Amino acid sequence: MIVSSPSNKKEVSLIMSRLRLLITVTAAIQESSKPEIALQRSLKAISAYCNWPVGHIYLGKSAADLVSTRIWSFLSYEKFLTFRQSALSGSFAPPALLIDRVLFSRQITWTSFPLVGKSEKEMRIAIYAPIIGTNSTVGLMEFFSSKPIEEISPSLANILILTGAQIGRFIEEKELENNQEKIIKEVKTLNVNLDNSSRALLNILEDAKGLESALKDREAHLNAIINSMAEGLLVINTNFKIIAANPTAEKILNLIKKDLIGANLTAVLKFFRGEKELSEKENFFADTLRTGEIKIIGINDDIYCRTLSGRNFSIGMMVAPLRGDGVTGAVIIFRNLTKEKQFDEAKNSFIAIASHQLRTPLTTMRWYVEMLTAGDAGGLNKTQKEFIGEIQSGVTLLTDTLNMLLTLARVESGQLKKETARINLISLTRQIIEKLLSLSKAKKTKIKITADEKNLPEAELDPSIISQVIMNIIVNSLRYTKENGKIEIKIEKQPSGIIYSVKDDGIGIPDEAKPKIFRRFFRAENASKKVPDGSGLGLHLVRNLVEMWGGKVWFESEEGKGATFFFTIPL
Amino acid sequence: MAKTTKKVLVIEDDEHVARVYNIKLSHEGIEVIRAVDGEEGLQKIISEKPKVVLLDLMLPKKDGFQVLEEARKIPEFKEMCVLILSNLGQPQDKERAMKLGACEYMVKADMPIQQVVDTVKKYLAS
Repeated sequence: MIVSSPSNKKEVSLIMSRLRLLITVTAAIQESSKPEIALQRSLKAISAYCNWPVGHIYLGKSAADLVSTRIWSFLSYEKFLTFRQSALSGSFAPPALLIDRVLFSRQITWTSFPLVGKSEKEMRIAIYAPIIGTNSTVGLMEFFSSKPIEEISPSLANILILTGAQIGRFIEEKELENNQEKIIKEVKTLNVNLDNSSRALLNILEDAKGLESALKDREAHLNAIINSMAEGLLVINTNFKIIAANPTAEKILNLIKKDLIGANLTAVLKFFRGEKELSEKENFFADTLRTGEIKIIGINDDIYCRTLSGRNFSIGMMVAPLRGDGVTGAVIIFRNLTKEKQFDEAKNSFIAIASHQLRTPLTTMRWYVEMLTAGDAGGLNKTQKEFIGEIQSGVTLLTDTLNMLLTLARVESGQLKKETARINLISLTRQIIEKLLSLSKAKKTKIKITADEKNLPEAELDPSIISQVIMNIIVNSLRYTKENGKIEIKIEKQPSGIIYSVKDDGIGIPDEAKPKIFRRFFRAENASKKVPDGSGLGLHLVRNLVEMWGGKVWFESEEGKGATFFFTIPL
Repeated sequence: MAKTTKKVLVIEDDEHVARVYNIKLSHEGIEVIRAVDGEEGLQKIISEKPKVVLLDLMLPKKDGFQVLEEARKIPEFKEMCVLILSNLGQPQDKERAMKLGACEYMVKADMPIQQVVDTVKKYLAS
């Protein structure tokens, strides 16, 4: 602070008055809640004290960033009007060099101000005083005066600088306060946010914990299922590498998990169809990995498997794709089918033996009857011929029943081999009718075929299978029609395929028998009465055979009014 | 000479069936020789050189498939007419026999005896 020593009373009173100004300004500042108010009050106090009619505040640290504020002070309305007028008509900006000098030197500066017009006499001097903060100047006070100033006394300058410093510090404090408040507010917000975040995090952790335990439960559950499966389970990746195996898989393959996991499936297991080893290309796993389709290998596929230890067994399995981003691997569920295979083979050999052992005595009976009828043992009388006829029909029925049973056994065991050929259904039907001529003649039954011969397509089926189906249906119709009855065979091409129907005017099917008509060994009461020696196998076999080629079989009938049997052949 | 061309060898273990063949074929003036098992059958094919062989499949000592297979290995009998008359009716049996070179495959139980005789006559005449 610059203080000159008082030399006389006048000077003492001057200093006192200036100190009062400082006190006034300090009080004004202290009482102000906001910097703007403090600035306004200080400006007014200085203006009044110095009799400088107009005061104005700029804020900023250099001329370049100096901002003119709306803080003004006017001693009188008139003087303000004069000032405003001249200000509006001329350049109002303070010279940059001057401003920088005030800001950097922190000294009071004044200059004659080139105002125009009326005000020229009134407002010629601009006085600048710095507003000083702790570290730097924060702005400046601008005053206009009508009186020329030769010099501002050092004591006034001191007071003005002190006043500026008071204001500067106040502004800084307020800024700091504001900043602090802001910071506190921010910290508070931050705290709230943190609190929310931590709460959210806790919730997530809790959820995750719940999820983890639920996952663990599910995993345990899944593991329990996989481990207790009676089937072997292997999971492979796209390179055939085994990535998971269950205990049953270890047992069947005679390998421990350690040797299975990571091993290449094709190295651990070799596959054979019958006796021939399957090549890489025939490998069903590769198929599933490539196409994503499920592959099922059953007992009839005749696939054998050889383990590393050289053990052979018949294998049944399902290979399903493991999907992630595309097919990422395969799940293989497999069983050792050796026992089933043995059982199957026993069943097959039973079929073969039964067919042979039962047919041989039947052949003998048939041929001797035929020889007797042919007169190879001499002529027969009427009664003898009649008796021989009875034996013959018994033998024929037994042969038919045996054949049907054998065919059925083969269909059910999947052994019936199919050799498809292109079949003209009309000529095949004619051949069958020809074979049944003796039966139709005996009952005087008329058989009519209706078909569009030109447009009926040939069917791709196994000739013996389709013959058995047609034969069985026509024989049934012949058996259950009355004498002089008629049978209508219709073969039609529909968009879905061929519909073959056989209509008779026979005894028909009673309502209560309808749901059971295709059951094995089932015979309707009226049918048993009319034809006592039926086997109840014919329609059951028909349905099995038709379904084998993907067709459907059904009937329409009313008791006493005949029946129509339909079957379809998809094209 | 004409008689030998009508020689038929029946390889059949079942007495009753063999008797039917014998009666029916003799009736037609055909010379019938019989073997009761596969081994005897093969020997008689070689020694008797029949024009037609009626061969059963389920036979003692050597089954019909073996008889057929071994006979076909002998160049002289490569073209000989072998008719299978068996009660093995499964398609795979039929397929196997035909592959081995059988001329016909007949399931006895499904065949009237007269049809058997007619078939034999057809092959004897060819």
